[in-house]
Amino acid sequence: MMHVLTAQNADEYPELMEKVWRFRHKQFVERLGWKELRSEDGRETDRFDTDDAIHLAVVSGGDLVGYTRLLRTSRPHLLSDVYPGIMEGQDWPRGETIYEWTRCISDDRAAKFGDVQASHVLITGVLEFCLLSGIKGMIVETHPKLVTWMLETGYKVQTLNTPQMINDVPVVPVYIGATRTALERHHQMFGIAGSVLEIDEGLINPVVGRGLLQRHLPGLAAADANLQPAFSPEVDFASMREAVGRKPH
Amino acid sequence: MRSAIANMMFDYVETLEGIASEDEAFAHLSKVANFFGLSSFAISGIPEPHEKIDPYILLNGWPEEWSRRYVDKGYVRIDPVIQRTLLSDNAFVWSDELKRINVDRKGMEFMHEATEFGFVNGFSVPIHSIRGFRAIVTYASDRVDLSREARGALHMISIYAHNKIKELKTGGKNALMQRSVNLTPREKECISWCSEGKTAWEISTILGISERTVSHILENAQRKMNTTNRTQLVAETIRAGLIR
Repeated sequence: MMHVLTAQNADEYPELMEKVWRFRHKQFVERLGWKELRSEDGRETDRFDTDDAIHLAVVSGGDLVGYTRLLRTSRPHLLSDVYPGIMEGQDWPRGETIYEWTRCISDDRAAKFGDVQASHVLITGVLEFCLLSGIKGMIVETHPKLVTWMLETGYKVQTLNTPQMINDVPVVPVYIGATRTALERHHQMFGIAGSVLEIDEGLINPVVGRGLLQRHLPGLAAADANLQPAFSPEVDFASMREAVGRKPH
Repeated sequence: MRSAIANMMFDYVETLEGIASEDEAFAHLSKVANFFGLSSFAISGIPEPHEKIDPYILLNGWPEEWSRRYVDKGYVRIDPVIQRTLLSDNAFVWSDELKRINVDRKGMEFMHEATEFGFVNGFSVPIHSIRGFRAIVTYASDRVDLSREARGALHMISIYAHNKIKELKTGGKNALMQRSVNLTPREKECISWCSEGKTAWEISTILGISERTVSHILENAQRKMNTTNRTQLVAETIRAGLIR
């Protein structure tokens, strides 16, 4: 379902990575109208797509149906380099194990995984990956409305500043901690059982930079077995509307 | 240094954890409304066109007489603030936004009637639940004077307030969601008509199916919801957010 792509294995998936750049352009530029990201070749990439970026790609039957990217906050990221102004001079949680959740998008017409929507696999996979790799929490710059779904899916949401307007859209910086409780809540809400991640054998944990990434969270399947199946949500969230920064030079 | 407005927001969110009852939640939000110079507030789900608003009201700070009128006369259907709330995700000051949408004569009369209660202007926050549930957190007053920062802070506060009150209503830690519930569209449709006070026979006429089938559908739903009668079924289904 969700592939983990890092500097170590991205080269082994040239076709999938090409799909990633095109999917990002199609979804953000063509569908959501983020003009700043427009590119002549129909591929959306920026200077943060470095070896340090972690790409999470939801794939169904060979098609890319969901995507998101995690950036380490101890290195340049959007909040530090594109719109630090929204913090108005205040500091924000950063460090080796705190990542910035960016470019989160799914194709809403995409096929479901059983009863589960691609967007739900996507947001559940992000959290599962954090827990597996040792990411303590994430900062997100997003439309305030998405704070409702973060709260509903079990995150404790720490608002870092009042919302600021970027290109006439309100954007609020928040910090969300990665917890088991929140993951279980995702599973329960979306009717997901077990892992949604597909991790290549031999993939080194990109967060700590050494040691193999575990394939599964211990006890996850057992915890799911105790959950009552939840009802399926009827309407999904479309995209996490992060702030549109100007395309870096 | 943080501004007083930002501090209000941080304080509100920080102290929210300790709130354990709806009364406390009400008092907590009253302080906020007061700080921003707003006299009244309410939090409510937004019903479907054929439904009444009463079961959806989460926190009611309207003057009693206005609240009664609003419910009895079905004002939710003509309230232009509700119409605007369904159109966009951004929080708004009534006087800024209502001139941008087509408010019909009924809507104008409604807004005029509201001024009897000192509601000349207001600020409202649209809420989208991940389950597709629509809600509004709304403040009214004789005047609204909110800076951009204040609007942003109040937007965030409202999101947290809505989530808190929903948590309190559903018995804290998500108790209802633990229940094995997966109602079919037909079951939801029947329960929705039940909530309008329709009998099984009336529902059968509306849906063009037999009365026996309607009873069967409702019994099934009762079993799923672990309820023993139709009133309880309707209440629990609404509380769980399975029908709007």
